[in-house]
Amino acid sequence: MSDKPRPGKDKDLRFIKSAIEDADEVYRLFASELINEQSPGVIELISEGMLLIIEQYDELNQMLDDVALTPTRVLDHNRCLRDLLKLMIKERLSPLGRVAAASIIQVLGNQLRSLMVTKEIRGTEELCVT
Amino acid sequence: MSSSKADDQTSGVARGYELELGKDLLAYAGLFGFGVFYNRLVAHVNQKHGQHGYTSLLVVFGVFVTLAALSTRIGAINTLKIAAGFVASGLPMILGDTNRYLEYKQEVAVALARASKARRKGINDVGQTQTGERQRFTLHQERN
Repeated sequence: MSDKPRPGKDKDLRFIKSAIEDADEVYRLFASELINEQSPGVIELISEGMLLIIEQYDELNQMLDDVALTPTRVLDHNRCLRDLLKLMIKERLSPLGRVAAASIIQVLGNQLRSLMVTKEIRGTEELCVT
Repeated sequence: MSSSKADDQTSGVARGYELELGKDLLAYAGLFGFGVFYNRLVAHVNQKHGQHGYTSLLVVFGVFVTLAALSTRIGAINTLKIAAGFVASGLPMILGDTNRYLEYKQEVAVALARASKARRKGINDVGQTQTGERQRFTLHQERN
């Protein structure tokens, strides 16, 4: 029997849970640290980012129940979040906001690593639109 | 007699210089006050509006006020010459800054549209996409 990690088994679930924890952390940072930014442009980016992370959280939870689901869309959301963050750091954020943005980038990087492992286990072709 | 007349003239010139210097200093003091106030205003605008795209215009207004204040001291012709110099050097900067701001706003619009599309893909096409993914998943499992 192959010792390759299987979908829905220990390693797969562990990395999905890790991605969920990262999504939780990103949401927390958006909701508590960045929400005080006043600039209208930043608020728009934060709102879209929060909606994306909620969507991602939902998808990841579905992945725990359904082993046939691949992390393609979650990866898409992660990419979109990174794009939003790239633009957000060009805005005039408060010092606390800049630190929060850097933390979010770090957590998104960790999440990407977990998702890549899950993608490898559940195996799918690249579907993401650029 | 002629010596005292020369002394009067000298002291008159000195008084004139003092008066002019006083007026100059008054103009500089006024400009300093304006600078302090304007700095606060710009800080407030930056905090409230973030990337607003008006940075170059804020600089233009600051230069305009400075020239307007100094025009009373250096004369209208000199002021116009200096203003023409500022227009020549500042116009490319204003156009460039505006262009950069519009490009940035375009990037934001594209990123927001892409994010919104990614979210909608998850909501609207969930059945269709998941079916497609399941097929690919089955193929992958068969391959392994």
